[in-house]
Order: sequence, then C-alpha cells, then structure tokens
Amino acid sequence: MNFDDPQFYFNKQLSWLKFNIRVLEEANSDEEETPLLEKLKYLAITATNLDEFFMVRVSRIKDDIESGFNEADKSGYRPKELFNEISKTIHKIYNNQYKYFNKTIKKLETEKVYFKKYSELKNKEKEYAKKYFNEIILPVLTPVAIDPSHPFPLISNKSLNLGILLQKNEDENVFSNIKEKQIFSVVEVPSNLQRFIKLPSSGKKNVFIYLEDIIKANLDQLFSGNQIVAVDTFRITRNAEVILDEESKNLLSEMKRYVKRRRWGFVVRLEINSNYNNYILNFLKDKLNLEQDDIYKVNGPVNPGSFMDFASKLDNHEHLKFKKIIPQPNPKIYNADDIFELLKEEDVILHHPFESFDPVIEIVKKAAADPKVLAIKQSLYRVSGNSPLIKHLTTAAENGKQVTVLVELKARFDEEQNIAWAKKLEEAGCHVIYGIKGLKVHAKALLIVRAEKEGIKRYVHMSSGNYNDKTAELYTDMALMTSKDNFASDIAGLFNLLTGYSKPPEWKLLSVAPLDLRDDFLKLIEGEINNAKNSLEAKIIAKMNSLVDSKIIKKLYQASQAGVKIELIVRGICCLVPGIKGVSENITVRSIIGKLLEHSRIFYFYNNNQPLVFLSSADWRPRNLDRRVEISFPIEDPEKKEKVINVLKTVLNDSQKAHLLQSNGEYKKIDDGNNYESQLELFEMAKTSFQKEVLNKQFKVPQDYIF
Amino acid sequence: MFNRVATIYIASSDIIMKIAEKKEKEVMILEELFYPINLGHDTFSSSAVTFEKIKNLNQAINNFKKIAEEYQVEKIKVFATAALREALNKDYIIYQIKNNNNLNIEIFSNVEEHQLIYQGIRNTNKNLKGDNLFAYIGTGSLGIAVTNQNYIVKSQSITLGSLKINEILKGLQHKTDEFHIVIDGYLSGYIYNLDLFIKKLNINNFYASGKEIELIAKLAGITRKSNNFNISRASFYRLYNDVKSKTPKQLLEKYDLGEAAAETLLPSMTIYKNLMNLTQSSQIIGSTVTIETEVIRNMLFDNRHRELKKQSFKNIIASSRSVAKKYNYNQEHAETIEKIALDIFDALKERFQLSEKERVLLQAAVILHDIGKYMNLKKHYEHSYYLIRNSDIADLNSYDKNIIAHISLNHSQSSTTNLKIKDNTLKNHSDRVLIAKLTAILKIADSLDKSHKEPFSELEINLEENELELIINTEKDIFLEKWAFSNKSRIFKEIFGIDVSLNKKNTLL
Repeated sequence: MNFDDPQFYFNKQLSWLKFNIRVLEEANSDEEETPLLEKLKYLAITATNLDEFFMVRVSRIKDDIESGFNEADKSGYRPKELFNEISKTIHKIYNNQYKYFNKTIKKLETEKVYFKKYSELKNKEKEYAKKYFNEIILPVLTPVAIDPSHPFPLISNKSLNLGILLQKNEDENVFSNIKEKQIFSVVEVPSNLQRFIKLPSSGKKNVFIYLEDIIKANLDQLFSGNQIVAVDTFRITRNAEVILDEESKNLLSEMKRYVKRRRWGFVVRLEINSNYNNYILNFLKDKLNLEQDDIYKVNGPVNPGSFMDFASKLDNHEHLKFKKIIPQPNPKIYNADDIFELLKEEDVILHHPFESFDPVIEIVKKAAADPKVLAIKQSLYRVSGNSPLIKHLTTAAENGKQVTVLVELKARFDEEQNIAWAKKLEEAGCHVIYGIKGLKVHAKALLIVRAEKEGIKRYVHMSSGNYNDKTAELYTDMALMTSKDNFASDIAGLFNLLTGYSKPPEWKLLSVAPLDLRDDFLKLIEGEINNAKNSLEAKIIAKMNSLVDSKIIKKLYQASQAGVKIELIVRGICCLVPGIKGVSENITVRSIIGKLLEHSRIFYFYNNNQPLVFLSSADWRPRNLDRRVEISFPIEDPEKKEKVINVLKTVLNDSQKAHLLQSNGEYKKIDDGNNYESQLELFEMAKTSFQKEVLNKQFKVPQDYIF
Repeated sequence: MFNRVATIYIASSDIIMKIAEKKEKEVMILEELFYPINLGHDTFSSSAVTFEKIKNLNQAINNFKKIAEEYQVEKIKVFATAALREALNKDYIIYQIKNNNNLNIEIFSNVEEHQLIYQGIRNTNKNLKGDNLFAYIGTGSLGIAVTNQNYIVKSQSITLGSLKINEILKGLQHKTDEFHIVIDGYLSGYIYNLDLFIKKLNINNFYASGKEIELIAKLAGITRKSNNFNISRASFYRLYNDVKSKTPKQLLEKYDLGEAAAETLLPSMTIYKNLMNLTQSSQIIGSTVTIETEVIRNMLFDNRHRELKKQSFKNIIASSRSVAKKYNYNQEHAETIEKIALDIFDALKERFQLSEKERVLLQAAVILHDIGKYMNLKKHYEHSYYLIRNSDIADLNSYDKNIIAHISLNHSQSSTTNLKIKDNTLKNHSDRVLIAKLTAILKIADSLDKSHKEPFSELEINLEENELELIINTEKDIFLEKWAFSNKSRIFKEIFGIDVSLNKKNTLL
C-alpha cells in the first residue's frame, strides 16, 4: 500500500489550528468547568499561540508563495491553497475569540469587574485617568508623523499602536513644514506600561480602563491645535524567521543581532479595531504591503494576549480561578535525609506538577555547596526569568566546582533572556557552551559528579520538560533521577558530545537524536509488529505533544495493519489519520486540553508482556528527530515502570478533557457522563501517595503544606 | 598505586581518553571519549603528521585534560603507538604537547603494544591449554605470539597494520575486482616464515584482537560472551566471502559502517583469515582487550603489576630460549653457565643493589650471547648483536633488547675501557654501567665452562669484603678454566671494585 498518498496525512498547520481551536473552546465551556478568569487566560493563550503561528508558520508559507515554490506537501496542499485555508480558519477563530471574549467580559460585571470606555468614566475616575496620562504616560509617548519627507516608521513586531488621522490647522502648527492637509501619525502604546489601568472606585468594584483608551482620549495634548479626525488601534505581526548565522565566531553576539533583525521582518498580519477609519486602514495596508486576507478586524481590544496575567490584578476572586494544584512533595524524597543517599538506593520518578519540582532545584543547590561534589553539568533550554538554578550554578562555580552549562541560545523567542543569563554564568566561571551548529539542544539532563568514600558516584536527572521552575507548575512532565552507572556514563558522554570533546560513544541505555532516536523508535514499533504477526498480543501507547514524522506514521500504519493496538495521546498537531479501514483502524488518537499543559513524552511498548517504557524530550516530528539533540531513556525498575504506566492509563481514561480525533480530522469530546478528569485524578493520586507516606512514617508535615 | 587515573591514547584514527577508577578488584571505566583525528593516515601515507592535525591533537588533549581534572584523577598517562611512533616529526609533536598541556607522551614500541594485548588476553582467558596463537592487528602493526599454556614461546611484530596495508595498497584497489587476492599475495611473504614455525605445532586456539574484531563479530551476528566473541570458521568465511568482493563504498552502504571501518575491514579479515589457516582452530576467539584498559589495569593494580612482571620475566626467558634454539645454540652449555651466572648474580645482588629486572636481562643474555656462531664463528659476537636486535623476544622492549645485544657484543672484550656501544641511544653513563656489570658476570660464568664439557658439579661462592671467591668442587683439572678466568675477570674488577678469584676445593680437608 502506498502510504505516501496525501489522504493518509492531515496537514500540519491545519492540525495545529485545530489544536488552537480546542484551547479556544475551553473559553466557551460552562463556568463550572472553566471559571471566568480562566476563560480569559485561555483566550490569551489562543492569541499568543496565534502570534507565534503568524511569525513562524504563516511567514514561511508566504515566503514559499513569494518565491514561486508550488509543490504539494505531504498532505497534498500547495502553498497558496494552504494559505487560503489557514486564513479562512483563522478568521473564524477571530470571530469566536471575540465572541467568547465579550461574553466573558460582560459576565465579569456580575462579579463587579468592569472595563469602561473613557466616555463612561465618572468624574473622579476621569480625573485619575487624566493625572495618570500626564504623569506616567505622556513622558514616554513619541508621535511620529508620516508624509513624503518622513517615510513610514518602522513599527516593531507585536507592538500596539494608534493610527491617527489629523486635519492640519494652518495657523500655528508643529507640522508647519508639512504641505498636506491630512496628516497620518503613529503613536506606539508604551509596552512597558500596564495594559489595564485600575481606577479608584468605591466598594468592592474593580474598574479598569485600557491604556490605549486613556491615550486616545488625551491625544489633543500631543497634537495641539490639529483636529483629530480618526484614531484606530492596530498591531502588526512580522516574519520572525530571519536567518541566524551559525558560522559566526561569536554566537552570543550574532544572536543579539539576530534578535534585533527579527523586529523588522516583513509584515504578515494586521489587527485593527473593527470600527476602523477607511483612510487609516487603506493607508496601513498600502504602506505595509498587505493583502485583504492579512487584515483581522477585531470586535474588542486588539491583542487579548495581554489578558494572560490579568487574574493577578484581582484580589478576592479565587472563586473565578481553577482550584489550585499544589505540587506535592515526592514521598520518597521527602522521607530521605539525604537525596544522594536515597538515589544510591533507588531511582526516583518525578511527575510534575503533581509532584513538586523543588527536588530538582534542591539537588543543584545542595551540590553547589557540597565539598564532595567535583562537577555539575546541565543543559538549559528555557529557564524561568529569575531562575534559582542559575543562582545555584553560579554559586557552584564560585565554590570551585567544575560547572558546565549548555545554553541553548536558539530556544525560539527566549533568545534575549538566554543571552542575559549565559553571560551571567560565564562571568561566574562556568564553562558555558552553546550547543552544536545546526542543531538545537532540546535534551534535558543534569549530571552531578561526586567523590565519595567508595569512589566516584554520579547522579543524573533526565526529564521530558525544561529546567524551568515556573512552567514546572503548569506543564505536565516526567523525570527520572538515578545514580545508575550506565545512565551516568551515557549522560557524561552526551555532554562530551555537546562540548565537542568527543564523538558519540556507544550508548548503553540512551537513544539520542539526531543519531539513532528515530531508528530506535522504529525498531520498537517493528518489535510489536513482529509479535502481532506471531499472533502475540501487541500494543503501543505513546504520549507526546505532536506527531508529524512521516517515517514513524508509516510504521504505525504498518503496525495497525499487523494488528498492533495503538493508543496515541497527542496534545497538539497530529498528522496521522486514525480509523481508516485497512490502514489505521487499530489506532486511536486523543488530545487532552486541560488546566495544565500536557507536555510529557511517554512511550510504552507491550513487548509480549515485558513492557518497555521510555521517557523522552522528543516528539515524533522531524524537527525533534533530525534537527535537535534529544534523548529518550528507559525506565527499568518495575515499580517505577508501573508508576509511569499508571499515568498513561489514567490519561487514557479521561472523559472530561479528552478529544478524540476522527478520521475526517475533527476532534470530538468524549462525553460518557463520567466526568473523569485525568489531571485532577493524577493530582489526587500524588496527594494520596504523599499523605499515606506521612501517616505511615509519622514524619512532620511541611508547615506551608495544605491538605 | 593509584585509585583514579586517566589514559589518553593517541591511536591511529582517534584520540581516546578513558577515565577509570578502582572498584574493589575491578577497573571501573567512568568516561570514554573519542576524538577523531586520523593521524595514521598522515603517518602511513606521508610519514609526518600535518600542522592542522597537530593543532587538533593539542586541542583534543587539552579538552580531555579538563574532563580528567573534573574527576580529580591522580595521574594522566598519555601514550601513542604506530601513528606517532612512525611519524618523522614525532619529537616535535611530543615537545608541543608537553609545552601546551604539560603532559609527556610515552611512545610504545610495537613490542610493548603487543605485550599489553597479550597480557590482556592471558588475563581474560586464564587456564590456557596447549599451544595457542595470539594475533593483534593494530592500525600500524601486527603482533603474533605463540604461547604454550600461559607462556609466550614465540612472538613476532610486523609493521603492517590494517590501516597501513590499506595506505600501501590503496592505489591497487580500483584496478582490480579481486583486491583480496592482492592482499593475500602481499601478506604471503610475511606469513611464510611464520608458517614454518607454527605448522610444527598443533594450535587449536586462535585468539584475535584489535579494533576490527568486534566489528567482524557484530557483522557476523555474534554476541559477546564475557570478554570474547567466538566466531566459527563457517560464519567468518560467510562474512569474508561477502566482504571480499565489495569496495569500501559498498561496504559502507551495506553494513552502515564509518568510512575508516569500511576501509580496514577487508585487510583485517584477510590477515585473520591467513593466520587462522595456520592453525587447526575451529573458530576465531575474538578478544575485546584494548591497550588502554591494560595500561589502566597496570596503573591501578600494582600488585597485579608485580605478578605480571613475574609472568613477563618468564616470557622473556621462554622466548629467548626459543630464539636461541632457532640458531642451534648449545643448550647444555647455556644451561650450565645460566646457573653459574645467576648464582654469582644472587651473591652480589644485595651488596651491589642489583634488580630483578637486571637478573632477567643477564639470564637472557646468557642464553643468547653465542647465537652469532650460527652465522660465523669469526666475530660471532657481532652476529649475536644484530641477531638479538632483530629478533622478536616476547615482553622485551627495545631498550632491554638493546642492552642484551650489547652484553653479547661485549662478552669477548677484556676491559671496560674498550666497551663497545654501537647504539647512540645507550650513551648514558648508567647504560654503560649496566652493560658492563652484566657483561662482567656473564664473562666469569662463561669462563668457568670454557671447555663446554661441564667440568664441575658444584660451585661455592664466598663474597668477602674485598673479594669474590669462587670455589669449584671437582676432581678434574681446572687449568683451562683458571687461564680463561684470569683473562676474563678484569672487567669484573673494574666495575665492581673488588677482586675475584677461582679456586679448587681442597678435597683433602
């Protein structure tokens, strides 16, 4: 059978948009299921997701069209067709997005949260707004007028702007040198100021006004004497796919230039308020070189992405948020006096955020101060803004440990932050390396070398998720902590490969992309195919963020044909088409869109009742398998294996947040009336496991711990 | 004795670092790093390593040193084999590494390289029985040893490794479809001599080692049993017949090999095939022993080292006898004076602080000193000298061999003043003293059996403050011995600073 036929593949970009729609629909669910403030958050996530989609994906397709590339992709779409389909879908998304948004804002009023227009402000509120404008906003505003002698200004990517149409006053004028009567001017809404200004109000009311509305109402102060004909809020999105010169001798400074260059890529989207002025829109369209399809007219505030942390502005509104998932201490670690001693005895599996990320930070902190520790090596892809890990690593270096840190400068849209702390680490004396040319280092690994009485002992942490204490509270990830020599020497070998000190060793336990990870996965699938052909039970469960890789998809089709039962848990893009008779009828695909972002990559192979279980940093997509350094590592200990398998089983049972992918590409919510929400279930399990341990061992409960 | 060490091996296609630690009685390898620099290519094809590669070598060693220091190793030992040994610019490379990294490179001779491997094979295969053939294919050299049980009775080093054959014969490869026949032909010259010796024996076990053996085993679908791969003749030939007709490019594609491995596979297999066919072995026992791990073992386990030394001394003697036999030495005579010489040596040992090693050198010199007579009686010591220098003697490095050769060369000299030193590398004062000391003892021992007829049954040795007195218990007349003795004792007096006398035991007392 020809598995290259486009009918066997969903389009990657359209599948991604479907994912974003699933996220958006969370903002449309019952309030019981999704409280109001969380709805705003889902709306914000949908918006920022789209930003990235435009900057990278849409830009690439536009590039293809521009360059005359007209070949069909795996799913049969040619660039222009795909662009049209995408554009159509996103326009629909916008409609729903603002529909849900306005509904939510309206609903918030019943909770005494108001967004007012300037004209609706009471005197006292207006006074405050005016004062705020004069003292805080005005000093940082820079209006720019555009005329034949002043070219269109460089409007930076994703910035919020006001487009202003002025009628020149002939008498006294700051624009006396401009001949035209109508003047177009742009004022950037300062991005370093709060988007929502809370106005003083009586009682329990929370009254907000948008920053741009205050500016709009006070524009006369900027253009004294000139008549303001119209003002529109707009935002542009640029192509962020500029080329990074990896050959550059100094990658750090090249990266700085790269980030700057990105601000000025070509424009791929214009968002503007729906009651726009025609002149302004046409002017922008013309100057920014846009097509009609690129323009998104929005019925509400431009860029709802700003609502991401709106909830933090409200006190006493906990009932409008999800019940907090408080990461539980891992009982084994909590019970141990010394984590190193514990790991010498047994491996530990951590499941975040149900279990706390603290042990990961703690072990680095402990190592930094431990006289027995000789060296620490860690790969950092995305770390949090003020990461405690950076602090501990610098302390370790200052304490004379050999600290090697692999900093992936190329982690998209985190580059600026990465440059800053890479410098900090270097200054502290860490050996900072920037990875391998042409490959992003996405593997997450930590190695601690300790000289103990019995000799060298090495401790390893490997994870599906980043070393980021903030996202570890929101992303589900699984990690292994171990002191087994085979893992230690593999991870040591991985770092030697990344520093360029050694070619790859023969891996004892790891599979490493781009070397052998795909092949190893293919072999594992092949193993199940062989078992199925020998009439043995055969089964695969794989959980990941995206499934795109056609080599693996083909192998999965073969497996399905051979009778292997395959359950896929794919949160985002899935190019595999399930349920095609004779091809993929043994494959199911589900996507979990919950409170937490599903991020763990877990792979299970039945292996004739000797299950093989792996955790990995990689998704099954070419970028992970070919263009990144990724690892996959086996969970060998039966008890730990059980813990991981149990996670998969729990997720597969989800009937609340799971969407089943149909063979027509639609996702259908599972609604069996059980309301089984796997994320909550896993949280309960972590809680029970910790409490059971507390009761058994009668040890002290942490003071800040809430049952 | 160290607990944690690192070795950096400058091999032909990679620079290899191993960091290891003693874990109870085992070697625990903590890290292995491989930095690919094909020095062998330069050395074997143009005799010198290029500037660019020396720069890379420096950088690689510098990086390795950093990692070794992370583990706070007690000692980093850097060593090299053929790739540097045969490079004309090796002295400058050694100098640069010393200068840039403060590390000394030790260059192992062929023989030392092979001995380490043999040591490893013997160690991982205790209880060797009967006659065995060991073969080690380095990139630049081939080592072959025959053992009887655990003792090496013959060893030979040929400067012809897998990479080297390839560099030499490369030009022919594309001119023929049957490159394996060219290699066979090229090897036959080397194999012929070996054939004469080995065919006399009945060798049932063929142990093969070297970088390629693991690959051969893997391609033949053989899995490892402890330290060995047992590759049957049939599975070896199945693979060989497939490999022999393919170009490196085809091999690379079919077997998913690296470029270097694809080039050395056929030469290596051809060497193994030819050697296997000298034996009756039904299989090739592939050994996974490497030079680095043996060097590490010796660094970490001093006791073991001592034991191995003892073993290695036995090998030197067994192998010396085998060489001497080849040149029809007078075994009886040799055995007699061997005993006398060692008795004298033992008597002097404490007072003059003589070492075990020197004892072995003396013994070997006694066994070998007359082999030149095989060529010509006239100036036989000259012939002995070059025969010894050009013979392979197991476990003997070139320095030691040189010393023995010089002892033989000088065993006819009458005084230290005309001691002949033919080799510039032995110009040190201490080298001369060592040669003189051992020559002196050999000469005395030799004189006591001048008639080569075993004239006495017992020898009594008295070491007085100013004199070494040798008393022979014999009924026979010792006139001839006394005459020879007075002529031959001068060097002894000059070097040890005491008198030496020969007397007949007074049987009347």
